[in-house]
Amino acid sequence: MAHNYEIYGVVLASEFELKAPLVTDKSPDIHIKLANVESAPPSHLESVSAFASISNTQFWLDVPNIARFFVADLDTINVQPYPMADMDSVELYLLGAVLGPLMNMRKYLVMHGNVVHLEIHGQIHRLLLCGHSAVGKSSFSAYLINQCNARLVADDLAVFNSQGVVCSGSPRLKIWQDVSQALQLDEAELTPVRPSVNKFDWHIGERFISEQASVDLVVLLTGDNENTVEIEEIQGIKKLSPLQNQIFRKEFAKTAGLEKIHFILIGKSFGHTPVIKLGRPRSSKILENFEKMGKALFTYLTNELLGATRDKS
Amino acid sequence: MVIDLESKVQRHPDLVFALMGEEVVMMSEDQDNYLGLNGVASKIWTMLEEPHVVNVLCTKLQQEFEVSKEQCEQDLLFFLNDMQQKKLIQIHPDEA
Repeated sequence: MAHNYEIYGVVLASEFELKAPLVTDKSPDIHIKLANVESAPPSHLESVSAFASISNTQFWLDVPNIARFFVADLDTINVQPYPMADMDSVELYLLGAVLGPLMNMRKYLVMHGNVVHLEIHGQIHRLLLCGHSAVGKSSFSAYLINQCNARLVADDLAVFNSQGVVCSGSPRLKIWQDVSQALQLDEAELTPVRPSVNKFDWHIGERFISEQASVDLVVLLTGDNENTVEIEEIQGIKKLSPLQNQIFRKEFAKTAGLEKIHFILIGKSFGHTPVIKLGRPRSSKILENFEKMGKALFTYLTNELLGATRDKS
Repeated sequence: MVIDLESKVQRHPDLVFALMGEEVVMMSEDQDNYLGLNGVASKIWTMLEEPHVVNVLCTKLQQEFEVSKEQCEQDLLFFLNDMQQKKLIQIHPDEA
């Protein structure tokens, strides 16, 4: 019997149980099947790495010791777990490394980042937090949720539909152990992401918000400022390249013929959205760093965005 | 074909563009380069949402910007012919 789940604006029907996404009774868009996947990619696909090959409708991925995946016709994902694989790891790759490129192929724009929903003085702001791997997207999201009453819309993949609005992910946030300790999170809400990795799924429950809405601000997190926090606003055509760099697996886009649709969707999703760079301090004091970043961000939001709203009215 | 004051011009139908704030950003045919238009150029692009005769375009611009008719015509023709060369606009098919 298939289990149906809603994530990123689509419904998955899976032959095996998934832990992260919300259960739904809506009819499925994508079918996940336990089936044989060839050990080599079909010859008509173009290789994008030693373990991945793609066309505009198909995608083959081999994750050694975890599973082989094959996306066929944009609506089916065949999964063949390796004999000793744990299903938490299979789900992790399925919902990220496989579903991300598939959503791109389905003409969504998938950004590598987090979206949080933040209320300041009664006004809702939705922030897309981007930046290179390990810059602290999920960690800073966890701080905003834990300390500033923000709510999570999406973690790791931020999926924008053809209208340029973000579609929520699942009520979990992946964080490193040191961050969970710094934020003093309740251990009962944490489970290991996968065996032998020092990273946890934070089950955030009611602090997740299922919604489809526009993003008000893009925050490009940059690493290693000295001990200061700086905000720099990027405007006009200069926004394009930094935003393109945040597309999930953007190296696949050219092979799959997606560059034009991504360009259009970046315009729809972020054309009129302010984009700022927010430098993360180099200090090893995690909480202190986040407090400085949070303060700078709140000051910006209060001064710039509320100011802009006043200008319009 | 050179664009003159009587030409009717329109955006190139195959061109892909996006608005980035006040700027219009266009993707090149080979999808490898991007061109940004701001200020008056962006305004002209917005006006070309509908095909326009160059004379009419010039009159509308004079209503918005402080510029003499001669200067407007001269600058506009230079700009539009450059845009045509870059395949961003074209002469309306009825007239080509």
